[in-house]
Amino acid sequence: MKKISKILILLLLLGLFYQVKADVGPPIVAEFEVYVSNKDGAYCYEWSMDDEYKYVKSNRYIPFGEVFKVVDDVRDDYITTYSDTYYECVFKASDISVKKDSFSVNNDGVVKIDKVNGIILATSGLNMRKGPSTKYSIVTTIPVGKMITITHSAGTYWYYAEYNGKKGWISGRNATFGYDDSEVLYSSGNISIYDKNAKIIGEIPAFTEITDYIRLIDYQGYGYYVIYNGIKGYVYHMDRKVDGKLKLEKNLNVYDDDNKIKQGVSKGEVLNYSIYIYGSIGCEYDIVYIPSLKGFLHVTDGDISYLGETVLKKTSGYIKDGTFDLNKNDITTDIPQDDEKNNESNNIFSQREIILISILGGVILALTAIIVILLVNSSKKENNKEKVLDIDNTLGKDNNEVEKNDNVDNKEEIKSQQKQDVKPKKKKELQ
Amino acid sequence: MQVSDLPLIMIRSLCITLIIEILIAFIFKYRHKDLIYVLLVNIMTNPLLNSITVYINYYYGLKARNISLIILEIGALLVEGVIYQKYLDNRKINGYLLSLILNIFSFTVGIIINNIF
Repeated sequence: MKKISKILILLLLLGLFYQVKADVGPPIVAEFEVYVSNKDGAYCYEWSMDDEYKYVKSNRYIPFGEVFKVVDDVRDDYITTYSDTYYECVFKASDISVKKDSFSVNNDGVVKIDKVNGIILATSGLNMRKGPSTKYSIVTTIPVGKMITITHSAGTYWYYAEYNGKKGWISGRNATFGYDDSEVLYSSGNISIYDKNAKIIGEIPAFTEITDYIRLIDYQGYGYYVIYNGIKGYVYHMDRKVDGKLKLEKNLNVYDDDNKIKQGVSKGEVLNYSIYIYGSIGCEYDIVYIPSLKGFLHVTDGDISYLGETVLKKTSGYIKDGTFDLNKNDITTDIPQDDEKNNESNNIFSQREIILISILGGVILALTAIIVILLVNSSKKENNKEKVLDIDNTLGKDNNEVEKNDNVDNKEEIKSQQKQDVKPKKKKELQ
Repeated sequence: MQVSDLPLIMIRSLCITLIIEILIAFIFKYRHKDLIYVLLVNIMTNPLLNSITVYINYYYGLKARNISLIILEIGALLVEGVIYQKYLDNRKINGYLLSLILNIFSFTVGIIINNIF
């Protein structure tokens, strides 16, 4: 028994060790295994912030053949580590090779996303690879303007996509592709539209809805490629249009575009809002736009309580297969009806609310289970009490019969013997 | 995993745990009310444990989640052990040991399922 206990404890510890790696929540990054393939070994590089911003070689040396894990999340031809072995060490991509030339979407760090359509923007086409790094071999090259379907993401730039029956990984670095997003964009102020040469070619007025756009990844800071009033170009940032409701917990001021106080609103008022802008670093408050008052609230913790928010979704998409040229600005699309239904979702609860509700659910279940355990146990005790009473009653009857029987001489002895006999019987019943 | 999937994940995890632990308890010749206790004890600990670890993962990251998972699992083991020790009719196996055995089995199967799917 002791041996079994030791084995079980060992199994438990092993189980715990692996359980902490199991997927209750996904690990942060998608690492893949590499080895140093440069016969002279590899060095860690560090980012230099002197006059020239570039990577410089450090003294940290890793010998040829050494195996470790990396993520491909660094610009240019450098790859960084994430594991503890060589933490925050950036390698030259040419110094290392992947151990296995494939990377499954089931690996840690790969996140499944709602299917979106994408379009290749890279004029020379985009390589689809066997894993999320340029170190993996090429599956196929997708020509510019072609439509892809994106199903997973890994890290900042890499996405798993399908094109023409082939599946593999593509990098979105430098806006090699854009993708269709289901949200309605909204301008909280006047927003400039830029051409490829960073020249302003137009402006989106404040509080304008934009549905003709594709979202970009890592393209000179631009977030979107939009079409507005016949003008097609890049914008840095747009907000999402929401349909939200809040309740004021304090008296607050309403501000206009120039940050001047327009009017006051009172504690307890319920207002609809259409934009919520989180305060950036250094800003003390968040900004909320109230369309009915045509003004903004400046809110901090405790000023308002949320009554719910729905992000407005587009009713059709803007990507389909076809020739796409950034200069000609030719984008037209329609997402088929089925895909629209799959992409639509009304978020009644925020993520935080979902977690808290789940914890509350767990607490309620736990309390219910405790109550039921106590009830089951008390009904068990009731049953045992009844059995004991039955036995006592039987004993009482037996004693009366002995008492009535005049022919019995040693009545007290018999009665006490009967009592002794009952004890094991009681014990058996109680068991 | 999406946070919006959390309630479904909790239900799925509870169902799988219940199936495994009741099966193992049955193999160890626990019957009737003892199996009900196994059921109730897991309803008491499993959903709460899963939701708390997701909360910690969401707000404090993976390392914090891993540490809290160990602590919570040990706590759950002890709580289950107390209940088994106090209330089970079948006294062949010590309550704490039974809790350990059942949880090891459900852990192991959980890991296998997580890695396959």
